[in-house]
Amino acid sequence: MIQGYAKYFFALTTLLFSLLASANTGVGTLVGKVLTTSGDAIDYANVYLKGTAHYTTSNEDGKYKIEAPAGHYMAVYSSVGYESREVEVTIQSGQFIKKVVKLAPTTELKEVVVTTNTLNKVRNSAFNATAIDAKRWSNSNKNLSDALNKAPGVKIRQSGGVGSDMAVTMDGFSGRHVKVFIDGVPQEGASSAMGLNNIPVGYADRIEVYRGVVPVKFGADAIGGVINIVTPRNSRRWWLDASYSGGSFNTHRSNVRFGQRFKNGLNYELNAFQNYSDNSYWIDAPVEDFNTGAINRRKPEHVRRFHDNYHNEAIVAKIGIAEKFWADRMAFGLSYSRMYKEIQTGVRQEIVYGGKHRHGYSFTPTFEYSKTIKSLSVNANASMNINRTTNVDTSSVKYNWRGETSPLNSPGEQSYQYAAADSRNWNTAVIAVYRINENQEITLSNLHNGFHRRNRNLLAAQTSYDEIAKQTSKNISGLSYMLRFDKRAQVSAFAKLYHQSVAGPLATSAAQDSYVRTSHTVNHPGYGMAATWFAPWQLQLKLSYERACRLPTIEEIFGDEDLETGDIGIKPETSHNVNLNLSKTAAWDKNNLYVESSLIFRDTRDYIQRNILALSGGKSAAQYINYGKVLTTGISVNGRYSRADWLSIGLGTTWMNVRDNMPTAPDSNKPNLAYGERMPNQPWLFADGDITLKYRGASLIYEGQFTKSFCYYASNIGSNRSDYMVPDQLAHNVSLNYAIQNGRYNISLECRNLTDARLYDNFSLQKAGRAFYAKFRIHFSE
Amino acid sequence: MNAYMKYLSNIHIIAIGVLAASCTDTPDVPAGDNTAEEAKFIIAATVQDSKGSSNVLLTAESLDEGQISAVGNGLINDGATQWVFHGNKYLYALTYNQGNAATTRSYILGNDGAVKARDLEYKVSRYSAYGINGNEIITTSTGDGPKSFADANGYLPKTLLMTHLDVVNETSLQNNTADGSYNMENYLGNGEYVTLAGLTNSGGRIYTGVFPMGLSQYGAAAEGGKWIRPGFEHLVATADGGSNSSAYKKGELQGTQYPDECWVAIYKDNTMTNPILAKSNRLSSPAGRFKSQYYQSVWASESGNVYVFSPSYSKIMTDARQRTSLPAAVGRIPAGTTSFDDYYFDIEAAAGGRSFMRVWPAGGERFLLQMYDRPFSQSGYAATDFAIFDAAAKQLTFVKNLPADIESIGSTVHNKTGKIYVSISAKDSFPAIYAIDTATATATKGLTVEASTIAGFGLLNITE
Repeated sequence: MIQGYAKYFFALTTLLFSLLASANTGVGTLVGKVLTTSGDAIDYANVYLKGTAHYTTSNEDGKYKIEAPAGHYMAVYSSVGYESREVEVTIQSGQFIKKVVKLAPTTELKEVVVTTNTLNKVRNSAFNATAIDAKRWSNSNKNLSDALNKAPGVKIRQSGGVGSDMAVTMDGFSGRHVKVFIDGVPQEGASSAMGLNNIPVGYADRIEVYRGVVPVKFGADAIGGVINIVTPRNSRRWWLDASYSGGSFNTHRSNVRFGQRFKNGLNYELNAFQNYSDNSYWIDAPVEDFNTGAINRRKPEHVRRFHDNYHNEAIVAKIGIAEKFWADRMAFGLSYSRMYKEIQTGVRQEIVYGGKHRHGYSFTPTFEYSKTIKSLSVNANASMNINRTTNVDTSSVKYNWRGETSPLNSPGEQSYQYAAADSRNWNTAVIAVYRINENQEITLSNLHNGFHRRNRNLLAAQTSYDEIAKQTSKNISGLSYMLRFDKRAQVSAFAKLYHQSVAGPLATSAAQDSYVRTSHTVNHPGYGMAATWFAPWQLQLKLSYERACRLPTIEEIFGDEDLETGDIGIKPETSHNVNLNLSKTAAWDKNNLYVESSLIFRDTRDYIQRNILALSGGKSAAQYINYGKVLTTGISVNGRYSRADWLSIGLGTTWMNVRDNMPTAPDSNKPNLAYGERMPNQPWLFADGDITLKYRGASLIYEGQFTKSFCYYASNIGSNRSDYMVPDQLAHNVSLNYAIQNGRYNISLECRNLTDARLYDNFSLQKAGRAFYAKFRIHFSE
Repeated sequence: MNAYMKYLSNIHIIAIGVLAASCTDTPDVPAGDNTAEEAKFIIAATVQDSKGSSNVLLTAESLDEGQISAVGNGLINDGATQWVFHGNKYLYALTYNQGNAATTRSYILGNDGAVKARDLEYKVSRYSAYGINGNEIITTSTGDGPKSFADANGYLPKTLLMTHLDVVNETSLQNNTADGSYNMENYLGNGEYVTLAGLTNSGGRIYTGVFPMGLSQYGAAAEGGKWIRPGFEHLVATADGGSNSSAYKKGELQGTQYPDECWVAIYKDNTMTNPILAKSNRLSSPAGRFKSQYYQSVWASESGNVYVFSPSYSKIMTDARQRTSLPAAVGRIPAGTTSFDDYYFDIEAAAGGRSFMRVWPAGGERFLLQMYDRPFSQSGYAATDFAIFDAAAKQLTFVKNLPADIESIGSTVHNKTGKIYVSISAKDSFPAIYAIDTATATATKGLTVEASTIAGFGLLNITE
């Protein structure tokens, strides 16, 4: 099956190359770089030849290339936040003309402008996309998920402190519906040490968020959207960035980045980071009395978490070569990460553990390649993720919140185990962009993802293995056509083809005494469009649509080999996703303003969910079925205002109306009682704001976050909903930074949860109270 | 004597004729009745929506008529793996601490007629069966014993794991397995380990069906594999697989090597040590089964006779050597004795080759059987039928007047003189309670519940 796709893909690629070969004559090329006055690359800068349709944008290294008939032109270089420049050029047939152009910021406020500039790049696309500038927070204690929380429509829910479980909710979607990429490489199957909540914000240059409609270059069955972490591409000769922060709950974090670029094109970079925390914060929880075995719900005690240590360490090394005739850029990378995590509670705070823990490591070799030949750009990447996660639950005693112990009648606080899961996950992606002319572009992509997992049991003296491993192989091909009307409008249409095959154990008899390896294949099409119009008065209007899908997982197809019954015939979850965005930028005197609002609409059906079968005798069984429709409408508004170099205010708010849209019960004519009701256990109104005040090297930052209360269960069932509410949350963070020598040395002090509020992202799981951190960071580059 | 044993010895063990929450015989109390003792029926319902489900406890005046709804009504709760009514006073949401589960909670009926959660909650470990004995709900399962008993391979012997939930004193205590008195290895003398399928009480003794599970890693490795029967060697697993209770590990022999035997263990008290074993060669294992779920099929009748039902479920085993040759049938341990008499009734012969999945006492010497719709020899069988078995008359009668489109059958029943109530979910209507007349074997539709499923139901008296 996969071979079939590969054939089809290579045929099209060959076609593109043959188109190239027939390039016309009488044409010359203008190449060069767009830089800031201080020599930094400006990516996505607009370059066009005045009075013609010849147009391009600079790449991430600031490089650009325009082909045009021989002649005399006025080349215009512009980028948001910079003064435009016009340069006279003469293009000669068959020749390369080189122009390096430096643009000055529109105001003298370099940093503010650079920020606005970076953010605008992704925003300017026709997709409902946001880019969060990670550099902005480089002096803070944040990790990537904290920064991501600032994106419109996105809510991060964490179960506890450093290293705790995290879920991204995007426009009402979460879990498998939202996929994460790092530099375009999917992170499915990656170790949790490389999770968004465990990577320091300094690891990234920016975080791109695509809501609902996903460009073909991200080949993912992401029904909710994708998050792409973009790491910095430094154009300096060498750089060093190192930081350490320490604070409450014995928390220590550090991050070192070092890299060099040689004139011959060789470059390398090392990035290492580490997090450590005891997460020993205080909470209020009822305590189990070992004399009676009872937990009194009405008598919570103020107790300290005692078994919640987390630490992870990661090192990412990359070596690459640039600007060779055979590659614009080629890089090999290797990353190693490991983690250790103690498990303090179950899904409810009443369930306490004192011995259960998890550790793991992963190795990830990566390969990247890109080359542009005339109008064809090819990007390829491959990565392999080899990881092992070991779960340990072998305690012979149980614990309560006071840290007391009592013997268990059987080892294991939750379920006796000492088991390792070995998984291998490999990804390859090839993306080819062919520019037919100044205004038309075709993108062809093919992404392949393979996953293999086998469990080993380490309880006995001799290790034993799973008889039948679980395997998944996914192939997603995409084709997109983009048409630009002058510079003012752009429209693209795309189609995707999803293909998945899974293999795993399936019971052959109801007595569950015989299993065979079974495989199954699913094919599914998808399509969509995105259009944008740069209207007068610096308004931008966008409309995008995708019929998105999420393929069923191996568990959903095969069940769990016991009481969970899978369904070979299960269909992918599908959704019609529509976005409408309107944004405005304005700059006057020393003021800069950006306001953006998005309206979203999601019509989702065929949810794959566990349907609990009415069994008896102390257990229930479940079957995976396609059931449920959800209708989501929502609006998010966000903006940033800045004045000169001393003030910056950001505000964002999201309101989601996520309603059950299924009139009937599964496979039946009887009504669904929750029809029309708000979906449970989902934040639906939340806001985020920050104010930065600067004076010389000092800056004071305030951040606030609000989440409206929401119910854990269906909103119209029962009469005591207040017992299951996650209350209104208001959190305030304040930090003070001081930069010496223009940012070479930085010191910052931060107070999180200033008012010591009781914060919960998830029902019953309390997060940390007031906490203090200090961070030191140095940055050198040349 | 450790603290746990002391605690047990202080408990007065009440001998009651008919046992288990699901079969308490209580008269209906009409609404508005001015008797001091007021009571309400409690229905634990589940509502499924587009992404998950919600659980609610509803109250009703009668099971025989009317309609109640979960919309804006009832006490939301975290659900239960099993709802257990204890003596019309307490309702326990038995929930074991596995995966996404919460704690085990208990409920009473307040004097305002509303269900109230009591303040105390419990962390209950995994169980496979439960029963009621005096003031206790006892959960049992067979699991790994203490690490100090590991053999040279690191294998742990299977051990009886119990939790005693005292409903009056509101405690939850586990058995002490440290001294080895709860060893379940070689329980029947054939080397196999066993699991106990439910508890029933007669004459002060606790009777339980013994379900042989085959050889654990520990049992198979013992004494150089002496418990592996000749000809069964190929059934020893060479790798790991499965999950939950049907999970298997390398070196284990899953399923019994002795499918044509039936064993019942008889314990003198709730410490459940030193059982007397009763054996019948005319029956197969005494437990109903659905995949890895085992159902109690040893029950005392009102007169104290212990009836032992075997569905002969091992007929569906893949390997012919593990299949029983015996039909689904009933045997008996007469009241006051500890061995089988010659009572015998062939269910398959009376039911056209069909077996049963579950069985409950239905008052007197009668029992309600949840029957399969076709024999095991055919494919696609489902347990969507009912029959009344009159043990005294040795008569099996299929229940008439059941809805045609049965989707599922609830896990609890409720007894009232001459009637047994069951909950049924039909395909195109809300689930409802049906009353089955045990004399005529006729079903009558009663209370309809506007919800997705009925997870449990029973009667609670006002206790405060």
